[in-house]
Amino acid sequence: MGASEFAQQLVNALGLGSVYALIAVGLAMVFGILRLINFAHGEVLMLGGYAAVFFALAGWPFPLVALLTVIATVIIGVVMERIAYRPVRGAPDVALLLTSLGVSIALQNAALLVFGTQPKPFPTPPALAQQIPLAGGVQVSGVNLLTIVAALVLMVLLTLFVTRTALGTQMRAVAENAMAARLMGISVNTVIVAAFVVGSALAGVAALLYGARVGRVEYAMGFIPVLKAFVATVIGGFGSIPGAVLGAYLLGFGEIFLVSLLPDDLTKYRDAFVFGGLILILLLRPQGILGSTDPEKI
Amino acid sequence: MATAPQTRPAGPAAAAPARPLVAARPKDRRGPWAALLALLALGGFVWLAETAFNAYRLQLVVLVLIYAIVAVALAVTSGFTGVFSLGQIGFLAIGAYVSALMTIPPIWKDEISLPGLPPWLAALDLSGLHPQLALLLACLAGGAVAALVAAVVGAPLMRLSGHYVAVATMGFLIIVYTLIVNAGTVTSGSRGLSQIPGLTTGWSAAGWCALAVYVAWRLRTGPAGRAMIASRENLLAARGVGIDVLRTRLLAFVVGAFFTGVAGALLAHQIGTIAPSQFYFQTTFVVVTMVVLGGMGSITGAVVGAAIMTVLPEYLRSVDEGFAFGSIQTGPLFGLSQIVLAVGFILVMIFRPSGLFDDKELGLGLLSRRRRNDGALSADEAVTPDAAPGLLDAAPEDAHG
Repeated sequence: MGASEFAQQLVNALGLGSVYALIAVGLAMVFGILRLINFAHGEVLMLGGYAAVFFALAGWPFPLVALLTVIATVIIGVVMERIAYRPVRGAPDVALLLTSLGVSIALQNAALLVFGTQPKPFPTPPALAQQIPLAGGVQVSGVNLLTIVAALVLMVLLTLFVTRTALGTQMRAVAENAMAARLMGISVNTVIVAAFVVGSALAGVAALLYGARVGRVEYAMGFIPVLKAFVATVIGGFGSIPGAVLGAYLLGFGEIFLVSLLPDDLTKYRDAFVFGGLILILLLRPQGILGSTDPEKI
Repeated sequence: MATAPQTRPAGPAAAAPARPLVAARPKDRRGPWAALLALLALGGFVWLAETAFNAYRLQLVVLVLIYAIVAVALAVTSGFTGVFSLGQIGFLAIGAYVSALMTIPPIWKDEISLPGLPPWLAALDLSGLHPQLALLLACLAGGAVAALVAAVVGAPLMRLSGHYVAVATMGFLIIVYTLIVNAGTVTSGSRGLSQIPGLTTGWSAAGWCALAVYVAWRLRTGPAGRAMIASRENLLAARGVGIDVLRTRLLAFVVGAFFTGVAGALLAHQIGTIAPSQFYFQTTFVVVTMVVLGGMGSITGAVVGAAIMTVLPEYLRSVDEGFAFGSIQTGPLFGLSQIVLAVGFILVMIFRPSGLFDDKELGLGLLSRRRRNDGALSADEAVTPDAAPGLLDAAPEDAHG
């Protein structure tokens, strides 16, 4: 691999990693606080994609479409928490996980019912579809550039939110020790809703960027990216937000370079390698790179 | 979680292997009669189905029996041990593909259609045998390969608990799926395999189902099953009385995989065509629903759950075709039946998370309404198979201190 090809792959990997990071943070936040693996997070992404298609049909400019999409995903996330997850809170971990699987399947089929199997073209603004030349023959697509910048900005904002605001501090407190946090007068419900709001908003942004990336919206589009984001949270450590971001970029790099380095007839097994790696990490370091939760290993 | 008045703790870990680590429950004298009655009822029903039902109804009966095997297997793997596996359907796929490759006539698996097959397998022709013998060999091979894979995969995976094992087994499922889709020279990829002879009958499915239930029952009432349940209820205490938790979980995992592999073989030889999409998350969700609906850890519950979750979608399928309100036709409503099932599942999780039967069994004891006090686990124990840590348990609506 030459230097310019390497740089090109680096740019691609950054873009992919940024998408994973935006999704993974939502998963990690909810896991950290509720110990819930939210499989339905992918469906928030998918519905966000449809929301963008819907708002774009009205002919509004893309920034307004984006804003409305994010608002829509936030509403979806909060409603999901209220209807499905709050009633089963306190049940064993596995019950929560299964409930989220049920929510995921219900929403996927609801989308199938309403929108059909035919993918809808994503209203990507022409500016994003352009290739922007960088130094040395390396190119970055408008979507990739926006993804990388958006992820960077949002991660900075998120860090400020988590470390500098009262609500953010409360979230960290609940994630660390929910009992102690509650004794300190923190409203657990508020914190949980906040986690869903932030996570779903990021999923909304991810929906816009991922939709623009693949160019279409369909009922099953949330499934694979959320599984990958989920692997990212495992790599970084379940429930750790910085861990999820780190894991997302590692996975993005791993995937891109795996494809460019593997012989051609093995690249189609990419997902098998990714999930094989996941199992290895779970076995060797179940708490992930930055996680510190109880590894529950015998 | 209250500690149950368990049977006497067994001897130290260094006890001779022949000696059970956990004492067996006293024999229930009604057991054999219940078993005989159940067998007779099953036999009568299968006879009725084979002679009097139309092809569609018979197929439905066979599918119920096959999914009952899968559900019972998952009840053993996950319900008894509390090690939640989302990878069970991977073993169903392994059983289906292995058995199908054995029985598909050689002309359909030649150099052109499946070039990746080893010559001996491509030349393997079971059509000369009695169909039921061929099916038996295919089932045994499917189950054995699944069990072997489970032993290899489970040895490391069974060290994990809780979320981690669910995620790792899900990874296993995705890997199996990816391999089947991409190893087209052996599996013909996403197109799947067809020309599988329809060898499965009501009798063969019923026989395997009865065997699965019997083995699960023996496990559960025997020392191994009690060790499984003990390790589910309290890992530390189980290890404290000398239970080898890893070995116990691995046994449950391998037994579950074997029967799931057998069910995969029966399934392939019932429907005649298999494709990777049949062995993925949708099926996983359906099978998990069967076990959760019946009550994790209840064998009869798993059977009842399988019956409900196989028959109900068939009737709901007509829902997908749409409704007519007077002159207004809604047109086909694809996905509606799945929504109904998923919402139903969520409602079960909210209102009856322990399922229909919880940890108990449907049997003569339940029919005669006599309380059994011979060490059966109480209901409130089984609700929390792996204790949820954290104070979010039963958090009041308003948590302001």
